[in-house]
Amino acid sequence: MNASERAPVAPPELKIVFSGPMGAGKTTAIGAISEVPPVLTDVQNNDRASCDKDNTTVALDFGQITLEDGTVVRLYGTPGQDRFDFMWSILGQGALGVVLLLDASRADALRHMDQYLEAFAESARAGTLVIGVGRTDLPGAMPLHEFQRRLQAGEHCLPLFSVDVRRREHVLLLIETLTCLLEAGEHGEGNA
Amino acid sequence: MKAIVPTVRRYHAACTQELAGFMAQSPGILLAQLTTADGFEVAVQPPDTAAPAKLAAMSSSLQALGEVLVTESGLHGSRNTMIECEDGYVLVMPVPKAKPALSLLVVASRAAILGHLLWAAKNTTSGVAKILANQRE
Amino acid sequence: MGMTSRHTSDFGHSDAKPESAKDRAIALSAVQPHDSVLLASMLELLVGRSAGHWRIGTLHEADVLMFGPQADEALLARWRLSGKPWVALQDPEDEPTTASHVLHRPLRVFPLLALLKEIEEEAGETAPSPGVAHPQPLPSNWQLADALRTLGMGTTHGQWLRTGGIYVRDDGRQFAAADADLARIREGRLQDAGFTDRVPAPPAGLRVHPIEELAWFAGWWADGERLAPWLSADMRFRIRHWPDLGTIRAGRDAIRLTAMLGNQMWTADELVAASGIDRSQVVRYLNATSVSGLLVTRAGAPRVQPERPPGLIASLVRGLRARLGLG
Repeated sequence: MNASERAPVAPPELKIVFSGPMGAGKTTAIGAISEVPPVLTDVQNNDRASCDKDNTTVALDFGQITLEDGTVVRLYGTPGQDRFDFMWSILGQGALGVVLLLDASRADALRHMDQYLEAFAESARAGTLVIGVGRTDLPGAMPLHEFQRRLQAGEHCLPLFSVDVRRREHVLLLIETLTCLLEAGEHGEGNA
Repeated sequence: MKAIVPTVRRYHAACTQELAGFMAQSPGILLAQLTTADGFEVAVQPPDTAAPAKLAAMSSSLQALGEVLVTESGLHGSRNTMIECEDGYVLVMPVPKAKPALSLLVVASRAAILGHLLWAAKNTTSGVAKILANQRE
Repeated sequence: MGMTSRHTSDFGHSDAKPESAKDRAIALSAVQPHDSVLLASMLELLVGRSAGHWRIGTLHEADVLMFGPQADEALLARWRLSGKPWVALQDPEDEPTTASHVLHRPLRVFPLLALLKEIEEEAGETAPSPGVAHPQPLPSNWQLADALRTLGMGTTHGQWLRTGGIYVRDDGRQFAAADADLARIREGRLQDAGFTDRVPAPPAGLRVHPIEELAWFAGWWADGERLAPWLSADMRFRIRHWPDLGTIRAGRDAIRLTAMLGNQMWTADELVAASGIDRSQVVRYLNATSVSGLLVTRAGAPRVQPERPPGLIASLVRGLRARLGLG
């Protein structure tokens, strides 16, 4: 077989993981940027006491973005509830970066941040994790500087922004920040 | 602590009995568990099963992934999700017409006969469906 | 009560403030809370013992800066330019400092009194000490930015400082403004009149915001040619933590610069060269982050920059940006 007859080399497959507690907006965020309607594994939520949502993700959300050169960037959303934490490590393996979404109106929001930073410790250490905090404008919400203080106590210097993932430009901000972190990391700058 | 939510707690005893009958009649069954679609345990046999909460969550993930794979493949009507291993089988089978949605998780050794396993599991899910229907009446 | 009678018998002086006693303030930076409380108590004790009436005050009004080992170097650099005394509060075994005065911990009354008298005597001199720059007032475009930068470092009273239609809490954490004024802040159209008065609370109806947006744009728009007066070209910078770009919405250059400054230190020139970003934008970014309290500065050591050729990530990032319309 000569060079012209060899099978074409498939472009690399890459993934970005969206994680965070239930109700933080992972499915919404993926839906905002995926070129295809996201594949969802949402089922009826039987535990309204923990989170007052009709449905909950039990395996993953899936979306994708195809670049001009054919590279497919896969977008995975993890289930939010603790009992599905085995999916976090499965989906997190080999991820280019992680977008962590938090809900400032939850009393346990800081604990959630600690939990997910530990679950995605490799990405946090590599500086390829960005944090979007939603609902910061609600009365009684945890102010952003408390999240920032907690991050600094853990010696993390990670992007932490107030966002509303119902707005596409906010989701794009998180992705753009991730791309800048990846760029800075590759050139031996910044957190890498 | 068992992750049984209030909505299904009242089925617990009857379902436990159904699972016990399933295990008694079917050789090679190592474990049988009923779970909600969102990963909560309803009943499990044997009672001393290790980590039932994790199994419940995993089986609901598997069920959901199986269903979505069927749909994305252009097919419909997923009946069960089966994993065949060197030393046994893992089977997840939905309970028909259950509200809330439930699935049966079965873990069996190679001693189980696959055809019998599927038939017995189907009977068990039908039995559970009757329990739910009777409780609603 | 007991303290008054004790210090009359110990010192043999009246504790009434002399009529000619000048009101003098000491600002504190990075001083441990218990030292701060102790100092305040000692200053009360020493009323009438020296020419001045000394108290703890804000940076704006202070005659003297007392600072601990973790004080911000840019703040110290700025203070040096003023020519006013600066006092290092340190343990005896700490390394020598270039401060004009040193006070050793644990704080004691007589060494403190001796220091205050020494400072008062020096203030009677007609010329500044050799080697210290003649004090220069800040250019007017930096007044508000400098005030925001240093708010909260001194004593706070739970009040709000007014500048035009904007109210800033004196701990430097929040500001209140109408939407129209917020737009002016973001567009650099704010009239910098400085703080004109203190009020207990902003008028009802004004929305209260975290300070970040005001501080950022006050620093951003102050000057696009030159670094802030307290920064210098030979300083090396890094970021203390990321700004809230979800609120500030500062654009990609700010994101890129922050990513670069995350864990490594750069001079302004190095940032311009490595990023390819227009110098004016880099200057504005450094000014904005400094006013926002996000910039860590160090003088001196050269940076070691590992060179790696761009690889897969660079092309991926370009493709992702293009696909999402990020430009």
